[in-house]
Amino acid sequence: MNDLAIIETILRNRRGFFTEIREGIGLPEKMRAMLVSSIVFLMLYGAVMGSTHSLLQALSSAVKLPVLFLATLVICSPTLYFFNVLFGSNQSLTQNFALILTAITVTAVLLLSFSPIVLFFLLTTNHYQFFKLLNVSVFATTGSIGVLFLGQGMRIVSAGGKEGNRARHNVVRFWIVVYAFVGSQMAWTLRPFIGAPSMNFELFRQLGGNFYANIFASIGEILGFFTVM
Amino acid sequence: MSDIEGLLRQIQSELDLDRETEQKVLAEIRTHLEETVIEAMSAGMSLEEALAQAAACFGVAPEVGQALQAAHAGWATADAVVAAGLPVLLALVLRWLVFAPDGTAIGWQQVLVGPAFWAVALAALLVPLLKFERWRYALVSWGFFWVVTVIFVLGPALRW
Repeated sequence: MNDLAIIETILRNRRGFFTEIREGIGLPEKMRAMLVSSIVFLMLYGAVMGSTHSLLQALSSAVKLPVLFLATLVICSPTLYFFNVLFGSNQSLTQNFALILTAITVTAVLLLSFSPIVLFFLLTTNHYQFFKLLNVSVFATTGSIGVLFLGQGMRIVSAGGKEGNRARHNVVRFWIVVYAFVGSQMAWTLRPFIGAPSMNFELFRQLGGNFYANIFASIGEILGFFTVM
Repeated sequence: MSDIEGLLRQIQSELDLDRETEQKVLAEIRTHLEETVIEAMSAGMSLEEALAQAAACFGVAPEVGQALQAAHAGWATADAVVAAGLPVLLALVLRWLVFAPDGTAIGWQQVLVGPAFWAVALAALLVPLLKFERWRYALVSWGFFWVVTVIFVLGPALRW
């Protein structure tokens, strides 16, 4: 299978795609194609984010962004699997992994589609906080659509399973919240992705603070309430 | 030529491509089938015999449809991915040609006379032209690359 053809299949014929995951058809090929596509798209978007700062930051973000998504996937997929099994799912860990990878692939292709826009703002503005919030908005939008796909996929994959369908839907909702928290904390741990212009390049920053406090501070600065140091 | 239409409908039912590619594929098959029918009729066959022969030569419609689906699936998306990603990638390359990793900026005059800039500009044109089935995608992609380049020159990029 052409690796990029999988994007078209997911976007155009998602029901058929999820049905094949449910039946376990061609899982290794699907996962490989999704993994390759996601990594390439995320690397490009990461390079755009880091290009506001320096070449080293661009290269570092190009590597760290796929790591962020894949590490979150690895950390969160056992939870989804075991909770689903607890509530009567007959899907394997690989099938759960493939479903989450579908969400990541959708997020990655949407991020790629946003990359010309983000590049445009990178070229035409020099406000660090604005650029950071723009990226947070892009990630929130694309990530939400990605997990919507996951929810849709889970419904199709779970259809016709044993008892506990309703409970499994609630598990997916709960898991999406956990996934968002783990993802945002992972992003905070792997930061910087953009790189503050006043600071030298660092591969990782010291731990401390949290993602949400930082975003509120950025919004405060944009609105003119205070200046983030 | 109602048999040809029937055959095309059977093939179409197996296709799940974007509408433009689908119409292009079906138009090619139609031309091929009609030529086969005309050749057969000029060799003395009746219309019905010629249609039957053309359909037989072409193969079983569902299988042909599935083969065409496999051959064309993903190309429209691949084109879109390259159209969105390549200019961005090349713009980033340009950005690093103009601004050295240590933050010092090279003058645009120096960049324009250097072979690296023209290699990037040529790649921005040739890669899409060779890659895309639709040449207008290549032109749009190339246009986008130049818009980004002009913004580099005119915009406040010197903050780097």
